[in-house]
Amino acid sequence: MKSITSRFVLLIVTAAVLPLVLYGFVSFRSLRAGTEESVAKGNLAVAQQIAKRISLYFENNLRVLTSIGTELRNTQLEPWQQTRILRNHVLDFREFRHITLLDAGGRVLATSRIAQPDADLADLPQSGSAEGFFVAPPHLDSDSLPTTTIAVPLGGGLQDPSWIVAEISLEELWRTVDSIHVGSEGYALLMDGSDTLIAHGNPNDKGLIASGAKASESERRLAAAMREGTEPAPKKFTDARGREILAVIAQVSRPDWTVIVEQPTSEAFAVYSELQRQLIIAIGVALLGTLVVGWFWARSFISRIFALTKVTRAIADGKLDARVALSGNDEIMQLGTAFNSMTDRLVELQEDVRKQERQAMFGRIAAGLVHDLSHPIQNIGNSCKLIQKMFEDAEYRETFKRTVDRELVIIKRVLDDLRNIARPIPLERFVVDVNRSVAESVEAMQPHAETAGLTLQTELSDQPGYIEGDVFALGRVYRNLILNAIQATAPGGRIVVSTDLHGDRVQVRVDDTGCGIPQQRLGAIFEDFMTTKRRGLGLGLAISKKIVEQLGGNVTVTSEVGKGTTFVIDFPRTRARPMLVAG
Amino acid sequence: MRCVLVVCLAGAGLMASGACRRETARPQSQVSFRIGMGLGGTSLQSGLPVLINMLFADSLIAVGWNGRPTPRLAESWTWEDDGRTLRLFLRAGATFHDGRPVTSDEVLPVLQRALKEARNTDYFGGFAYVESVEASDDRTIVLRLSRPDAFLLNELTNTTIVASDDPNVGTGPFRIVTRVPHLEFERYGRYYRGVPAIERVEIATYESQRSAWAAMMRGEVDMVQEVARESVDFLQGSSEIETYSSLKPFYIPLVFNLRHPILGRVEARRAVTEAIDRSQIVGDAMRSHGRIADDPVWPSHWAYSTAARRYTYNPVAARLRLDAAGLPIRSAAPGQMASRFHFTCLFWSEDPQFERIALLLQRQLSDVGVDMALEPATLRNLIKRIGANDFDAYLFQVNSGRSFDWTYRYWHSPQPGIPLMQDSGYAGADAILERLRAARSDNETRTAVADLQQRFYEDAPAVFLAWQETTRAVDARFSLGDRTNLDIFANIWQWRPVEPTRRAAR
Repeated sequence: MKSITSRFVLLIVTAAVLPLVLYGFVSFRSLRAGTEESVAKGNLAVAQQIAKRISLYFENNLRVLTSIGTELRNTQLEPWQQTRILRNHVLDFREFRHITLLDAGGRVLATSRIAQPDADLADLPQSGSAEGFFVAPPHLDSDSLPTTTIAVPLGGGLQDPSWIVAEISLEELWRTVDSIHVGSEGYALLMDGSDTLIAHGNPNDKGLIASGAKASESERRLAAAMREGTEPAPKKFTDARGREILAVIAQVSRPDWTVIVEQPTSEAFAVYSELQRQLIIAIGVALLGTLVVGWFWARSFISRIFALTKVTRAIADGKLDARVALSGNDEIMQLGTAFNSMTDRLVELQEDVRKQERQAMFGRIAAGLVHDLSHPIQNIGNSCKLIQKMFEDAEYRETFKRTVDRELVIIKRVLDDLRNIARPIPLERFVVDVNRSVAESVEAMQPHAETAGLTLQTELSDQPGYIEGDVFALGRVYRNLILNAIQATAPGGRIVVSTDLHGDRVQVRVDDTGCGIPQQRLGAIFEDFMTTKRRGLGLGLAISKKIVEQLGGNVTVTSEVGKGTTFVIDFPRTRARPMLVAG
Repeated sequence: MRCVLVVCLAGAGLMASGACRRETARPQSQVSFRIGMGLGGTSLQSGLPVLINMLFADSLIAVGWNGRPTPRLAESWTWEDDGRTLRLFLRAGATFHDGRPVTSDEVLPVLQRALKEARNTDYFGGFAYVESVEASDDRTIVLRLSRPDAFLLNELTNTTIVASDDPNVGTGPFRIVTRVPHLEFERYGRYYRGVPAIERVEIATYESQRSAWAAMMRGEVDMVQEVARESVDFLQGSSEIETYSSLKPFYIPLVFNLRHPILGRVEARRAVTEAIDRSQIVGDAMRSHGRIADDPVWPSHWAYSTAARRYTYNPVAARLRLDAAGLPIRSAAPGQMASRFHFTCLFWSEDPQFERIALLLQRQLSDVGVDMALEPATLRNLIKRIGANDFDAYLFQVNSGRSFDWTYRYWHSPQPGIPLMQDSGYAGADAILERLRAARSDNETRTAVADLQQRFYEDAPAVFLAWQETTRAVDARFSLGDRTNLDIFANIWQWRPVEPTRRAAR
């Protein structure tokens, strides 16, 4: 029955939880895909914003330098005044380390530097860029800070340019990159066209800048894809610290630098992870709750069926007073009420049957008593009438005495049978030879058999079979069985009483060739007042069975209608021997 | 039924555990320590001898952050005979690295040799008035002076005690293991102030400060002695390197040659001082890694007077003062700016910071009509021209120490026994400096210092611009312990590896 409960729970799980789990799985996938796309877009927007700011940074510096150059070229300032202007700009614009104005031949016209300008400034105009300005590859200054040189052509065109050249500290640019924090662990990095790192937002990776390191292989591949003109998809890779990184890239329009924004996926997808965790917990709690509720609901449902089953079993065991008590107002409740009504009716019917049985038994007993007692009483009565007439006849008086004594014995026997049913016969146990007791009984019943036209014979075992028994009680048993056989066997029939020894048991068999007993009545023939005959109390077999069982034995019967019946009495053998024999 | 529940719950648990994040532990710390030192370049001094002494050899007396002498190998001292006898009591339990106890017999030859070496040079320093050194008993050294000298104790802080018969046997927390290919020390297990937690110290020297810095960035060294001002910001936010900044006893003055016809006038110097915005100097040129200076007195010195008068930036007052001094703006020759007067300033060209300071000074003085021309000079050339009195003004950095002997040497007018640091023609503070040297009590010292600060206010030979800040970078795997002395070098023997859990927290 437990399996029904399990089935109920599985049904609930299948019907309620499985869809929830499937929903959760689908939600996980959708959530992850959505989160990744959203994070990548957000980080890409940051990278593009940085790239835009870097481009603006250079454009602004370009404008400032162009403005300074134009001012210096188009006004008739004294050289010391030009120098002061340049120096003031250097002081006012922190990112300008030095500013120098060169003519077309590379000769210094004015400079903010107090010492002579670096010699390599003269080489810059030959590297002029068609985009309108030139940016030298960044290098680290004496303080390990990123520095570059920017050269802007002034009037005269590219054929005959004059140049304003500035050494620019990229510190502000670096700070821009440093100030970018994507979440708490995400950062940006900046690399030039040769993949050399210029700025790195991760404080612990700035050593790479100081040592002039290039970007990692993964970052370089990302940059290469960008330079090839394809829009690189967000890339995931594992960094030197073993963390999985989500990287997006954006191109700086001028100069040809790239910005990469990196963020550990553990943080980038933290929201997703948290949602996933919450969803798992929610599903787990829902699952657990459903199981618990289902369990108790199934228990409450099944328990009423269990109660009904239990009462049914009790009634089957004869406890007709058992009733089922069910709560609720449903079909199970109606079933319980109907069951109780049915049980009440069953009790009433049983009482009716018992009443009828008692009445039948009473009739049978009364009929038996009438049968058994009326004949001797009538004989005694007839004898009494005759004795009045023939009192003087001494021979008749003797006959009268014998007749009355005989009939009184019969009456006494009937009364003894009735008394023995109510109270078992006290037995006196002695060592008895079964063969002998059987032979005596058969001999005593021989006249009855002959009168009925039957053959009564014995087949005794070769060895005596000793049991502890009451000779007179055993005689009654044998007589009952033989008498039953005589009464059940048609004239010409045969009755065999045999004994046999089986190990420590002794068997007595009574076989007849009578009419037999129907199978359905075999089970009841040893009951009190049960008879297959039209007359009699039906106590013989019941008394016999009680005597046999009192002596430690048992009696069984087999019968076939039309062929005959066999009673088998089985006694335990005893090692003791009769005193007389022993003497 | 129970199985169903168990499976479901286990599955939920597995899914939940799968959502958990993992963290990785960092590797165990090491107990050896590598220091990177930049030797070449533009540094005035590499600091290597100082560092070696801090590791290898203790002095009898040390000078605290506030300028107070503190006990080291001498656990106490007394002045006797009206300041003409100094009695030093040696500490019991202090030993040389070879196990010998530090006794008077061992210390005496060290002091006698230091005294002899001082007398063989033209600078006697704090030993100038010492007549004799003797041991009165096993633990007492007696120095007898011809006259009281407050600088003697400071001189003793510079005299480290090394075994007289073996220069490799010192008294510091670490003893030398080898000098080649680089200096290597191991901790001295009987160091009297406690056994160092760091077992080995290596000093790797580099051509420049930048090289040492790059080495630290590459993880080759655990500490860099000095980080450039600009690089300090670079490290902010790093969890692997800690930076420790403190004021260093160096100030930057714009020193005037008082023999200059105009700069020799007090009113002109005052006006120049008022015309200079020192906060801009510190904030812009020094990136705020410094502090405004008002005089050459170490601002953390116990006798420093906070009540001293100070100049503030006031260009209007400067113009008025110059006008009153008869220095109006005059028309200029072609190619020159119109100005009140003109002078040339030498500046140290090898440190970019000085060029930017010079440019700022030039612009600020230009605003009040003073034409200051700038002339870059290398370190060698600068020192040469300062000593030769070949300058109008110069911009440089000057050591003050945390006491007054350097101030005395730099600002006292030339005299026998004191090497010529400069000759600006200034003698206005000589008398006060002599009082400071002869001071025998805290009151006398405090009064002399206040007078000196007042003197530098009233008749300053220079514009004192700023105190410099030094920054040291140390790998975050090491904890520096007690930091009452703000220069972390002072307690290097107390440094210890940080536990991994604490490092992670940091």
